[in-house]
Amino acid sequence: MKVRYLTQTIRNARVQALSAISAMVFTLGLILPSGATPAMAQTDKLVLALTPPSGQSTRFWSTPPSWLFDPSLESLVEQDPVTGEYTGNGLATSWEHNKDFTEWTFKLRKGVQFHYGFGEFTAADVVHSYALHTGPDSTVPGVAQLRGGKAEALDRYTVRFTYDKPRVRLLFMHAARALMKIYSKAQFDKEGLKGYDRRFAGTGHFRFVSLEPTAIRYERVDNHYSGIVPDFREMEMRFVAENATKLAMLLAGEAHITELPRELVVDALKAGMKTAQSAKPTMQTDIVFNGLYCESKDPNCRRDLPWFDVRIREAINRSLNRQEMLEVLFPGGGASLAARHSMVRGNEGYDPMLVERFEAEYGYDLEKAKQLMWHAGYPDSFKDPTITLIMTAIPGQPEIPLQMEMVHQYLTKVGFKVKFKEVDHAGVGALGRARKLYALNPLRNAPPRPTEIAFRAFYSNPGGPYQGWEDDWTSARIKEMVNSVDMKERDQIARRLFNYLYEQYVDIPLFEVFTQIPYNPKVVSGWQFPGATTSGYSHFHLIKAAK
Amino acid sequence: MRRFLAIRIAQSLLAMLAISVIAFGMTHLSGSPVDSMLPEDAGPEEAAQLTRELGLDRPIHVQYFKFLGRVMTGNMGDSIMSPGASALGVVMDRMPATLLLGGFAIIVSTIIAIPIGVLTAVYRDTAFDAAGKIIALLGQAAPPFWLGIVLIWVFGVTLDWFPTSGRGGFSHFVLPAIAMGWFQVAALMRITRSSMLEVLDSEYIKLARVKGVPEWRIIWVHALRNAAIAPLTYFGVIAGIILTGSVVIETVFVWPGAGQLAVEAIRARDFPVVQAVVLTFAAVFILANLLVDTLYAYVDPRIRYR
Repeated sequence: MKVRYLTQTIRNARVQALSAISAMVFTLGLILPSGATPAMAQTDKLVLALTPPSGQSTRFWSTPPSWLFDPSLESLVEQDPVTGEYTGNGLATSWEHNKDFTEWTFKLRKGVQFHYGFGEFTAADVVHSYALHTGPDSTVPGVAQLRGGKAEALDRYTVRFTYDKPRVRLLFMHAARALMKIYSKAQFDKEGLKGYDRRFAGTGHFRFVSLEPTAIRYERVDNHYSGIVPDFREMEMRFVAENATKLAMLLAGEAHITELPRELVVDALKAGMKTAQSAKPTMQTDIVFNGLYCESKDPNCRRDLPWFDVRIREAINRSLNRQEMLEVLFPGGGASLAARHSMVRGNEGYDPMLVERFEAEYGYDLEKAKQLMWHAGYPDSFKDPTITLIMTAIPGQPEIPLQMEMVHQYLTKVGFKVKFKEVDHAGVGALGRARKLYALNPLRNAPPRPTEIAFRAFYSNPGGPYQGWEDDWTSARIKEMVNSVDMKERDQIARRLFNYLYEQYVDIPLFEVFTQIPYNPKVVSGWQFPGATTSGYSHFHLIKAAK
Repeated sequence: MRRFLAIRIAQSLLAMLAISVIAFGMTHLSGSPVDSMLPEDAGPEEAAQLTRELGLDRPIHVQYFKFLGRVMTGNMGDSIMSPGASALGVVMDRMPATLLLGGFAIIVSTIIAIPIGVLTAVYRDTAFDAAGKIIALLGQAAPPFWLGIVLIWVFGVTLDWFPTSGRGGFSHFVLPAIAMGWFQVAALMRITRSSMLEVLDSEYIKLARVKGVPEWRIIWVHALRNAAIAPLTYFGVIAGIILTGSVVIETVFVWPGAGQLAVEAIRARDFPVVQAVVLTFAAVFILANLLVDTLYAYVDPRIRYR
């Protein structure tokens, strides 16, 4: 009886187990899609998986600038997709300035139509856009360079900017930096800011369709004034924070272009993807010796910092194996060593001699580094010999944590006492503004600024997150340069400054880097962009479809 | 029952007040929104001016009471990263997506956990039971973000069965719901198993067997019905876990919910939105627990008199 009962129980149990498993399989069958999603269902729609912007707004001037609106909202001055030079192929066809660079006059293209029937683009739109972008709620980085002037429409197709002080590099603000996008005044007059929020009208190669929590959508314009028709009818930029998800989207065919940290680019290439590369270096990387606020006896100057001693600054530079760092941080290539950050070939003050001297005077040399430390009396002569490294995340440069880890290892190896200070990017800015940033701080110069703007940003009062070196001599030279409109004189001043900063080892120059972005070659055949904008990306209309 | 409800509601309001203090304090400890609102080249004077405009130069308790006064009227301020939009409005726009995914995760975890929990109890100390324990262990040990990436890689990229990310049709729910619900699978399974073991040892089950009631009916109808009370009370806790889990899962799966919004807002130091997300999540969690407590008290009258 007992055996029979047990047998019956086991049989019943088996039936139950089978039933339960069948039920689960059936449920899974219901959940599972009927067939695999085709990886490349259509090529009419281009999907880019990009890092989320730090704002959810269609108001460019109050959303930290990014690639977000580039397909639709144009700047005044167009850049050549290969050389990055400023051309008259955009909204402004030509420009001129007076002798002292305080007046800039732009001739505007006739017949350019705003999307959604908001009429022809005119000088009134430029004046209106200038007011928007220089208003009190503007958070555009570098807006100080744009402010302080007056924009006036001389006629329907001519606009003039007037400033009290020379604005020698104004075109940079209107082209590469693209601080001012052209919005329609007619739309503003009719619909106000709510109209922009709902659906702004631009003049670009793509019409804005919608901004959603995780994507922005565009559709192409078939009759753009440039005569160029984008290959893709629709374009969607998806905001994806996780790099692993971005890579998965690319490999699964859900995104056709995505930005990845360089170590994942290698994985994408192994999977058959290709990369598009900017024509020019997009950024320069560097580490700033922050805290040397010594201009005019500033009480925030800390002479007890180890790196106040030029020998320590040189020793730190000598401790870094830049070649090794380059191979680890940027394995995809496209990077080269630079003598000085902010010194760009073709720009004011460029000195090829510094490039030649760089390896001998800044190159990896542990013995020399140790000698310098000994001469400086490190560590015993310093109240606090600790070298503090800022560990932060800089948008657009995912290599920073690894870079700082490597610096930590190199400095430890040579005998420095090193520690990390973890601060978010905004926090670094706050410390810099308060002039209390006493650390070695990673810097990203993107796009490489014109010399004058770089000097103002990095070596002059009143400070900022990247404010490292400052002294009376440097400040005086920068003021001379800013106020000079004599090109030869400016070049000489800049060259003297570069030589002085170089010899003072005022920072740790690292690399020049090109933007590399992986794409699926089954959908995209290439993308020509200069790499001269803040994000590195531009010219979305030149993304070519695979045939 | 009324007294019980009144006490529970008062406790809930007190909890909300405490959470408002924590949300306010934590956001202010993380730094000033001025730092992320200002352009990089802004100087100390511009920072001071914006600090004044936002009222951040006032004493912290004054700022808190102003904040509390606004919250009481449903106004949590304007979003910083979405100019022109209210913080609460931004959160409410995203909440349906989170609740939908959370609801789906609960369904998925229930469908998986209950049968396994029952069967591991029935086949106690067998290989099936051991496998169930391993699932429970893995479920509670595996971090959701890791599990999410593994699911994306296996089922999205390698097998190409499901989309890797985004919100769309039914298939878009599956991977994030599993990743979100997996922890609950483990917990629910363990609770169901122990509850079932207790019930299966009871006298009325033995009587049913003696009377010749089919075994499947004894297990799935008589035993499970009584064993289900314990897992049911766990659903209040699940609501909280699902909401907090959404922060990670929605970021990994690019799900446009309030969890992802929280991450974006923290990154942008959008204080009003961070506070609105925290308070909304807290309100949902407290309401869910209030509901469970009330139902429990309704089902078991002894609870009311404790």
